[in-house]
Amino acid sequence: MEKKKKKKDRYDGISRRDFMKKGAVAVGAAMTSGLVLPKVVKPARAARRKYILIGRPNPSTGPIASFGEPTPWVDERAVAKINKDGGIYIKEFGKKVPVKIKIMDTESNPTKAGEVASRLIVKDKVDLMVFYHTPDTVNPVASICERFKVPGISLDAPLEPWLEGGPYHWNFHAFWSVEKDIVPVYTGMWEQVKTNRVVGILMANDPDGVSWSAVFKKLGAKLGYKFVDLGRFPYFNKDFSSFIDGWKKQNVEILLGNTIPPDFATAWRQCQRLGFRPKVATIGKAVLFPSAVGALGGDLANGLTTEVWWSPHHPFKSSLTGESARELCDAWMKDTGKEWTQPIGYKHAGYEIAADVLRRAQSIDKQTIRNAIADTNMDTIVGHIRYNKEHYSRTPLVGGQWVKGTKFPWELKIVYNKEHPNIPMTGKIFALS
Amino acid sequence: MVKYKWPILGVLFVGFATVPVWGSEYVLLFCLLYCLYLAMSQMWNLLAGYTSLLSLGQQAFIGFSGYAVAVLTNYYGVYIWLSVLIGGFFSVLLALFMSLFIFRMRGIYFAIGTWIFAEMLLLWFSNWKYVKYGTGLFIKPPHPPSMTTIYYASLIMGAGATAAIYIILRSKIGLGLMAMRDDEDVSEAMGVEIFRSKLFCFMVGSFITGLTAGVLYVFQIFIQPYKAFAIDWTVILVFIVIIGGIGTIEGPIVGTFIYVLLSQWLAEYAHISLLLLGIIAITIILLAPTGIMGTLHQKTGFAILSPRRL
Repeated sequence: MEKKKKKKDRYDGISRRDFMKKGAVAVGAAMTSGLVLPKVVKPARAARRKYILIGRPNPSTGPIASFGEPTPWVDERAVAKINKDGGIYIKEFGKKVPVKIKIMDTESNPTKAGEVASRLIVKDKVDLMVFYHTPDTVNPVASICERFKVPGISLDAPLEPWLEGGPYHWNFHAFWSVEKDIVPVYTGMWEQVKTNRVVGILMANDPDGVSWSAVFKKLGAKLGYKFVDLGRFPYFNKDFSSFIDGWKKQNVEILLGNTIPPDFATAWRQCQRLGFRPKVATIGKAVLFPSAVGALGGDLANGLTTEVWWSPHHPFKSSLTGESARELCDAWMKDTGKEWTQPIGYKHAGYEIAADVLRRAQSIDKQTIRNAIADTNMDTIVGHIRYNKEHYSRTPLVGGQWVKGTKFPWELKIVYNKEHPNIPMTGKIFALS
Repeated sequence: MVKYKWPILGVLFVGFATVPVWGSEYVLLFCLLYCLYLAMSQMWNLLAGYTSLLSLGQQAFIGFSGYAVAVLTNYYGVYIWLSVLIGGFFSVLLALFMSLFIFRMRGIYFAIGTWIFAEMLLLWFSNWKYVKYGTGLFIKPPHPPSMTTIYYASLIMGAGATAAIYIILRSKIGLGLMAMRDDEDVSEAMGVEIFRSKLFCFMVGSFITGLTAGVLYVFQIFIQPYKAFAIDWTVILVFIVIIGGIGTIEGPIVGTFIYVLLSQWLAEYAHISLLLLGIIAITIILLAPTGIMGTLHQKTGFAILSPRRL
């Protein structure tokens, strides 16, 4: 028995050289056929479905999930509205067809976002991609759309990092710029408070922190501000006392920050404990969302200033539902019991643009849709959208301040609107000390 | 089963090699991801399963090589596949440099050491102006390769990694490795050159992981330090290898399939995806502590790619 087995094994064995030779031929043949044949053999797979499909990669979990939170509430509402009268007329079908969306989670991870976008394109065969929220989602998905030649509409990620991936052919983007919008709004708010113009920088070592501090130091110096920059700090830093000491020594009266919420909470609490009380504290990212502001505890949030890209006070209307910004926020609060957040408007605007584009394109041909996006010229709930040669459209930015609210613990008042006077001020900025 | 080993593998390989002919675009994407994750998990398997080098720092090679590809194509206009190859060699250089320090450590200290290296690289790249800090880089060659080309590159990596691990384990080094895995001190006394074998495997691992990461980022286009050097990568590789069966060549082949399938399927169920992945991992570990293929082997003796010579 033993002997037989041995013999059999030897018989099975194939010599290494033999294997290599046969293998090489097989590989060669397979690859040539793979490269040449698909164009000849593969039957044209015509889409047999009777609807328009929009791909929606969304950060539903992970560090930037608070941006993605209004999905699917906004999405389902908007799509229901688009489909109310049977949807959108498409030439290829010769009739009105409904719009469907497919939402997939990016886990706030750019690698995953790229995989998810590829899958939406090749498996689900989306006709159009609509995506939002920070460079971690927008950059990878835009790249994938370019590769597969699928039209993409994106919003809600600063322009500068997005432009790094250009020039774009298939993608169109709308949001504000750090250099042209954030700096004027922040310094504009500081101008309204009497200070010694000495700015302490509290910025994390991440894409935003690094680019914001560089931009501010470059442009702020021209406006007569002096910056006390004690360096970037890593996420979840526990001790800011050396920063605070440095600011106190240099008599800092303005605090400029861009951090994730937990880091700002730690730093701001230590500021109070160590008796550092600047006259103005303007913080990006960390105090965008009411939940993060409330988490600071006590009265610590009172008077913090930040950028406002969208609010119920914005005088814009939805082209889809006719709702004003206020009405959209009210509907959100009624349905979820939660305070409004800034991404809600931008999420809604994405569908406004998509619906407008599809109505004008009347086709699911990708090139036609792409050209229709390029021709976009419309008013949305986040302002006017008209893409320029570089495929982006700047949206308005104003400044806001958190104060004690009546309906919710903290409410954001608009206190600066110089560049966009059509957005009404709802409060007057006050100094922290 | 063993009798039909080569025909089965041959059919499997030809099947994979002709995906662009018979498969839809989605099958192609699926197989592409499958091959890439297979190559990387095979290499982690080689290190952790056979060489007792429990590396938690595979992301160091992934990120380093990915960045090498990005910098070479963007800043120097190097041909895309040449830069992938150079990225692989950079990854080996990194491994050599790392080995100066971490090869003085054993077991869990080695694991922590590799992880620390990856974290150091993360800090370095996110503070390095040349690579635009944490903003990330787009890999934009003048002539972007087609999906079919990228797929073949990934197929070469997947099949190549599996073949490499098989050949290594069937060689003299492999015998030494398995002796070493069972008892390091005794095997050294018996004449196994422990240091050299470990270093060899570490370098092979870094080379193939680096090459694969290069192909991965050619596919991904966008690279950003916080995710490129994230421990998430190693977590995925550990998941694949543990589920499939550590210390078996078939393990990662099955594990990768399960992982890619799950990650594709679960992305639609955003809020529960991680929960489900966790439950599946725990269930498999409880029911089959040595992984799917490991348990199958224990129960039925099934092994198609056993490095053992009967």
